[in-house]
Amino acid sequence: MKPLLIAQKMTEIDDRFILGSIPPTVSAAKSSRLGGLSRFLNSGLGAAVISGIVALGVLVAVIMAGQTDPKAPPANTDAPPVIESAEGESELDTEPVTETEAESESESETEIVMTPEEVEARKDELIAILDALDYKWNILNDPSYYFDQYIPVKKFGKYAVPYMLEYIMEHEGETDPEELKRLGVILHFAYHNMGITEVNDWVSENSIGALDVFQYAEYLMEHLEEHGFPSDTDSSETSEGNGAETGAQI
Amino acid sequence: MDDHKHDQRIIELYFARNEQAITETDHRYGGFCMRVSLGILEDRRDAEECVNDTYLKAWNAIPPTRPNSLRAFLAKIVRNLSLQRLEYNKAAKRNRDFELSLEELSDCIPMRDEDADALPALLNSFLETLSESEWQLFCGRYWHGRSVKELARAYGLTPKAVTMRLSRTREKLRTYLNERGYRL
Repeated sequence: MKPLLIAQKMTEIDDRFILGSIPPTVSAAKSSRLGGLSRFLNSGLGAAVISGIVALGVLVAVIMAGQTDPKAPPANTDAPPVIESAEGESELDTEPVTETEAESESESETEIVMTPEEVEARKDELIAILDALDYKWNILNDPSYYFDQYIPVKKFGKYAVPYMLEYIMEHEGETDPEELKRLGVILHFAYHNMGITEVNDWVSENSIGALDVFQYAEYLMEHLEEHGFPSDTDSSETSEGNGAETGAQI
Repeated sequence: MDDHKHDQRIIELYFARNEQAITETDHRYGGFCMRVSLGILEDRRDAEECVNDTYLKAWNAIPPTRPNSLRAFLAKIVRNLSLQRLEYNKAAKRNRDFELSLEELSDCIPMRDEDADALPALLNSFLETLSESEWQLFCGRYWHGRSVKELARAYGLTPKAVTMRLSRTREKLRTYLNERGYRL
């Protein structure tokens, strides 16, 4: 079959495969900013904001307490292993496990506390992992999603948290719901890795943009509530209907 | 407002023949459509033309069509238009990386032109057999036209790992089609 004909026919595959395979990019997220900063700046600050963050932390803590033991093996190997280990293979790959892969898996499931220098040296790797974090809120409800996403982040340890908060702040003003979900996941990891007290300390030591983190947290809180967090298990990002009317036929 | 409600609002503008529909579509999906087109075409101006033509196609199609997913609907239109433009363009303006991806794909699809209509359903059923990470990479490469390097960065993999995984998936596809009687 002619290559171009194959490409044309491939256009007609189910919507869910198309929508679910849009590669995540930071630049795309940035380009979709709609000037939401003013909204943050006009939102309530002070005690209300901090209480919002505390509420989020408590919420996360409650959810985390309800999760299966993080060191237990993943429950569902059909779940998408998006992130790979340092050796380049997913922890959940079903192919024969080589010695190198086995070592990688063992390393990933053990909490590794890197030094600040080590984290700095591997910052690009961390950013790539944050870029690739799955959007789905299933991460908070499905243990297998949780493991896939959490383990690669966790291996950087608490010194990665400032980078994660900076990453969130880079998206200040973001209004795209899917991007916000992803940022919410990152914020969740930041809190879980470092804890609320440490986050408060970090923002008080870093006056530049510290306030924005609080404001952003409040915005994310609102977003979580809008989406029925944490009981919303609908993975609507990839389960949209695939109606008979498709653009491929136009 | 969630994605679905937002899309429905835009679709209602189309149904009301309100030209604001185009503005809203461009605002919300312009960058996305551009990225789909640039996955296939090398020239930015060509891509821009395809995106503008996509809006016109959407305007003419809605109504009566009422897409379930406006994003997927637009993506399919802009991809088809970009493929047509790719065919039209002279060799110098073609996107070498996309053409390379087409060659990779055609090598593992042992089907004749007359079997083309069966391909979308076969691809759907084949993708169902893959893990999500496998079909994300496969579609990222062969539907969205992303380079191996881009995919590696997007999914936190090494380029070598992406290449290996794509190669394994292509081999699976070839086997899948062979088992269903498609051989050259």
